[in-house]
Amino acid sequence: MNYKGISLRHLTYLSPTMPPASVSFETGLNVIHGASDTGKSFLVSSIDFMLGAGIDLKDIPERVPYDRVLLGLQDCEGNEYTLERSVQGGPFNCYNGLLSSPDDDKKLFSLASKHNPKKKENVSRFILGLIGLDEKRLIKNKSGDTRSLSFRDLAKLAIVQEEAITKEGSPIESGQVISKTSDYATFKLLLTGVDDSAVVSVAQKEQMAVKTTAKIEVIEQLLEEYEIELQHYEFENPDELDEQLDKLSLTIERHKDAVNLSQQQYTELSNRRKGLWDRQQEQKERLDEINKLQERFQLLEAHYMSDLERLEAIKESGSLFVYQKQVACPLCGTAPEKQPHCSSCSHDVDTVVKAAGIEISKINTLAVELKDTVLELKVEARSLQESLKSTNSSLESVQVEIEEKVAPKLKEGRASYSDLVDKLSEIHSAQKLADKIKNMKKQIEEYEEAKIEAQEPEVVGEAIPKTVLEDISLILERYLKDWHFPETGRVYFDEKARDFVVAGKPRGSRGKGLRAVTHASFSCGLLDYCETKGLPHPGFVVLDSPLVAYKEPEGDEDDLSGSDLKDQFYMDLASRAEGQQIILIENVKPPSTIDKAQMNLIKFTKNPHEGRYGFFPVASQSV
Amino acid sequence: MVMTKTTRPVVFNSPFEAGMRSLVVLNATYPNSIDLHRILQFEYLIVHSADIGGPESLHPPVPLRSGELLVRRGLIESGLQLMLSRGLIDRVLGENGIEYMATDSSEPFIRSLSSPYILKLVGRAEWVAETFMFYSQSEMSALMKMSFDRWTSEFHSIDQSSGLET
Repeated sequence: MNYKGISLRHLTYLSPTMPPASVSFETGLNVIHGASDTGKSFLVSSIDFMLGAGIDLKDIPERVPYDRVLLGLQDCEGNEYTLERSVQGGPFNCYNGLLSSPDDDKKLFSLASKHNPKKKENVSRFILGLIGLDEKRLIKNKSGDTRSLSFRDLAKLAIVQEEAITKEGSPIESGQVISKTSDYATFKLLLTGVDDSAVVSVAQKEQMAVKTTAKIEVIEQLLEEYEIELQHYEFENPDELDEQLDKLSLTIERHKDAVNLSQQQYTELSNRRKGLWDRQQEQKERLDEINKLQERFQLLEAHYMSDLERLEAIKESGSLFVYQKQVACPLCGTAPEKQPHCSSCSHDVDTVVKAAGIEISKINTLAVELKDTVLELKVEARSLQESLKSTNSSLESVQVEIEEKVAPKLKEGRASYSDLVDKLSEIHSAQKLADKIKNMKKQIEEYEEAKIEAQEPEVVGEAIPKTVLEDISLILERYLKDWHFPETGRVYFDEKARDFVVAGKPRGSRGKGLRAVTHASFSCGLLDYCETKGLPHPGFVVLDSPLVAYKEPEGDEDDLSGSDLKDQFYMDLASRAEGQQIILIENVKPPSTIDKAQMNLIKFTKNPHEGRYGFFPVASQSV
Repeated sequence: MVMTKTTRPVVFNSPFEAGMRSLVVLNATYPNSIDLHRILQFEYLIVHSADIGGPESLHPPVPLRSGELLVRRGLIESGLQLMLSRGLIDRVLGENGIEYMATDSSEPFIRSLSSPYILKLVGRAEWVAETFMFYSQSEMSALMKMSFDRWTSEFHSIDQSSGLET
């Protein structure tokens, strides 16, 4: 709910010498009636003054001793505030709570009297804040320039002074030509709850158009560069890039399989080559070994042969030697049989000869074994050479297959695969570029549209939806009907005149009395409308003498004396205005048929001896 | 193949075999007498004649031959003793110390032998005697050194694990 209306609780004048002059208000209907010159209209303009009006207070003699004014307020959440202002005008003090005299302990802040969109501390923004309309904007001319909403814009709709209620002009207008547009915008804001923040002024639009043109130029320049870049890719039709991409991806997939297959073949053959090579090495090593063995065995055989010869020689010479006669020692002549013999040193040549014979047969056996072994080795070497030959040729053929078939195929496959991948990434880049170009073209189009739109002249601020106008018109119609307004009929809003037409006749064309009543119906109807729809509104209406013409008709048509409009008017407002606050100022008392308990009734008697004399105490009269 | 490492001290390199070779050497140098050291050197050269550019060596090449000279000294002394005991050689004491020399019985004894080894032995002994008889002691030492050096490099590649013996 945006409806956050405030209600007025009291208006009090303070004097250093005199007792305070005060009026209390309640929610619902307040009626203040009395004769002329009892301060009724002064009360109305005082309320306006206390809500930031820049006027000077009427210089009536009764207020001379008073120097300060207090206005008590209550917001929709029940928070109470008291505003204090010097009768001279100027800034306000704001206090917490409803005070009958200023209390520094309760002071919240000072408020400037003038609205300032840039600073919060002013009475306009304070109240706008309470009713949920702070920081709203209004268009102020046909060019769509906007300004910040001030409470002053709303005040004239809530506080209707005596001269305003009967004026011929529209109740939504202040009457000044310069504020015609913003007056209408204010009306629109209350009816729709939407302000003009979003309105773009003509000047802004022009500026935007220039900016947009500059943007378009920049983008076009970039676009040209991108298009040239795209041409470098030499694709016939960038639109077919997607299709090409799909085809290429498929080709790459197939190629990948082929490459994998050759890779597999290559690996298999390489493994085979490695196996063959290992076998070759093994065979070569074994052959080397055999060759070395054979060399050694040859040497061994030579030894055997030489040993055999030696043994033969020993055997022969030994068997002859034993027949040699022993001689006496050539030096000492010792007889041979007397010469000492060493038993261990085999001087017994006979034994030597026998041993030589045994050795010969042993060596012969060994020589036979050796021959067998050498033969075996020869056989092994021969078969090894054969299998080495076949290993060599297998190795060679595998090598040839790898070098001439598989490796080139693999290399080629890899190369063309990488070509394809390059091509793919090229297409990707081109596609990106094409996308960019597409987006840029779209953006240029958008900017062009925006430019055209900006260049089109537009009537701003005229747009209050018809249904909304119908709704408010219906409320007015109902009010007037309920009040037994003469010549009731269709009420509608004439957008050109910016005023209501009642039963086919423009409101302003009626007599003074009917104008005042219809004005009152509009003010109350607007409050009713906003509250019902949950739209923001100040929350109270002050009406100064809506029924004055009742007593002073301008002509026959305007004469309401014969009707019961007054009764119906009071009755209706008293029952209707429960959640709303209506402060009614009248000359005469409400009809006796009305239940006084339904309203806050204050009477200024203008009689020092009866009741309350006027707004200010009677003492002033004695001055 | 089975490499049987048999102990044959009795047959090979027995004092008798050493004595036989010394006898052939002395017979070849006859009528000159030579001392034990020269007999040792000549015997070595006969067995390994190919090392110093002579005829094919009597024994196949074997590593670590140089050690032979040291171990054979005592062996040859015993062999000489054996030959002395049968009057196949003589011991001569003179200005060169103890020298040995063939006797009149040497030649007929050797001639009576016909085994190929003995024949080869005689042939090489004659070559050695002819070639080196009059080498001075220092010349002989140089020759021996050369011989050792040669086989040392020649046998570098063959390892000694074959278990072969002379």
